[in-house]
Amino acid sequence: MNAYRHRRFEALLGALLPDLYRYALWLCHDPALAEDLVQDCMLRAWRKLDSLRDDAAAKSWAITILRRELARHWERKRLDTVDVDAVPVADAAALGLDDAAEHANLRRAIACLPEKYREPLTLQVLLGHSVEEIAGFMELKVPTVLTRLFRARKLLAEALDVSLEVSA
Amino acid sequence: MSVTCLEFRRRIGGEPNARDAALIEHRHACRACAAFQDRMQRFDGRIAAALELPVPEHLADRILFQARRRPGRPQRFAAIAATVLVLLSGVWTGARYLNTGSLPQAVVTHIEHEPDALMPVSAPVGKQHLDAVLKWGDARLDGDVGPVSYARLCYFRGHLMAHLVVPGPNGPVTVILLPHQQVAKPEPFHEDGFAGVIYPVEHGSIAVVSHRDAGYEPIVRRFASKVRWTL
Repeated sequence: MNAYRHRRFEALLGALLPDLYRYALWLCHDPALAEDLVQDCMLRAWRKLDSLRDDAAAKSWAITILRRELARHWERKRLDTVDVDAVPVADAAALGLDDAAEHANLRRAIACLPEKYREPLTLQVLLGHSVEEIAGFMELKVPTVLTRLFRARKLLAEALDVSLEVSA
Repeated sequence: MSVTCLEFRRRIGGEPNARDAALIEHRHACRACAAFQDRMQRFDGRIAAALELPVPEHLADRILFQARRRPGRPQRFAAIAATVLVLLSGVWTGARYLNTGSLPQAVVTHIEHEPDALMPVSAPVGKQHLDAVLKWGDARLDGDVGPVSYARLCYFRGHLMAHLVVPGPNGPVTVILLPHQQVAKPEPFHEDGFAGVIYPVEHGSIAVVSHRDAGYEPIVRRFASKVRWTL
C-alpha cells in the first residue's frame, strides 16, 4: 500500500511538476517563491492523495491546491502594501526576458499583462484547460473568461506589433 | 445554430482551437474567418513556446525528499501514536531543552534539506533577485556584504525568511535571516557536522552556519552590522 502510494505520487509529480512550476512562476514571477509554492502544493497533495479518486483529474486538482497556496501567500503579504506587479519584472532572468531568443519580447509582454489576463491565458495555453474549467478555477462566468482571453491575445499582439485581424 | 463573423471572431479570439459544429460550419463558409482562426492558432503556438520556461532540475527530488519525511493520511494514526509515545517518553528532557536546543537543530535541518544551496555556482545571484528575496523575508542589507551565491525565500517556523549562501574562507557559509527568532546572546552550536551561531540582531537574529572548520566567524561580523528588519 505504502509503496503503491509512493509510486503513484512520483508518477503524478513527474507529470504535473513542469506545468505547476511554470504556472506558479508566471503568476508570482519569483523562481524561489514558485518553487516553494509548488513544493507546498505537492506536499498538500501528498497528504490528501487518497482523496483523489481519478488520476485523470489530478491536474485540475493540483491547480486548485496551488491557487489556494498562492492566495494564502498573497494574503500573508497583503498588509505589506507591496506592489505585486513590480515583483515580476524583478526576476527578468528567470522569466527568460534577458534571452536573445525570439521568445524574449513575447515573454516580456506576457509578464507585463495584468494578472486577470495572464492567469487565464496561462491556464489555457500552457496547461491546456478549457474555458469552462478556467471559469471554474477563477470563479468567473464563461463569457468573462472568453473576453479576458481575447483581450490578453490582443494586448500581446499590440505589444509585439502583430496584426491578428484579416479583412472580412 | 449559425454564427456571424463577429461571433466567430469573438469566440476564436478567446479560444482559437474551439471546434463547435457551428464554428466549423462558419469556417467552411467564410474564408476571412478561417484565415483569422489560422492566424490566431499560429500566434497561440508562439505564446505556448514563450510560456515554456525551464524547470529547476532539483525541484522534484526536493519534493520527494520532503514527502518521504511526512506521513500521508493512512499513516497518520501510526504517526500520531508514535509521536505520543515519543512525547511521553521524552518529557524528562524538559521544555527548556526543547526551547533552547531546537533553533540550531531546525536551522541545520533546513540547510540539509536544500543541499543544492551549497553547490558551487558560476556567478553570484543578481542584486534584483537578492533584493526581492530580502524584501519578502522582511529584511534588508544596510551595506555591501560581498558576493552571494544563493538566495532563496523559504518557510521557516511559519514565516518567510531569506536563506543566503556566501563564500567563506574555507567553503560556503549559510546565512539565514530570522526576523522572528530572538536570542538574548550569541549561541554557538555544533550540530550534525555543521558549526555555527545564532547571533542576535535587533529584535531578531541571524543564523550563520558552515561545515565544521569552514570558518563562519568572518561572515557573522560582515552580516551582523548590516542586517536590518523591515517588519
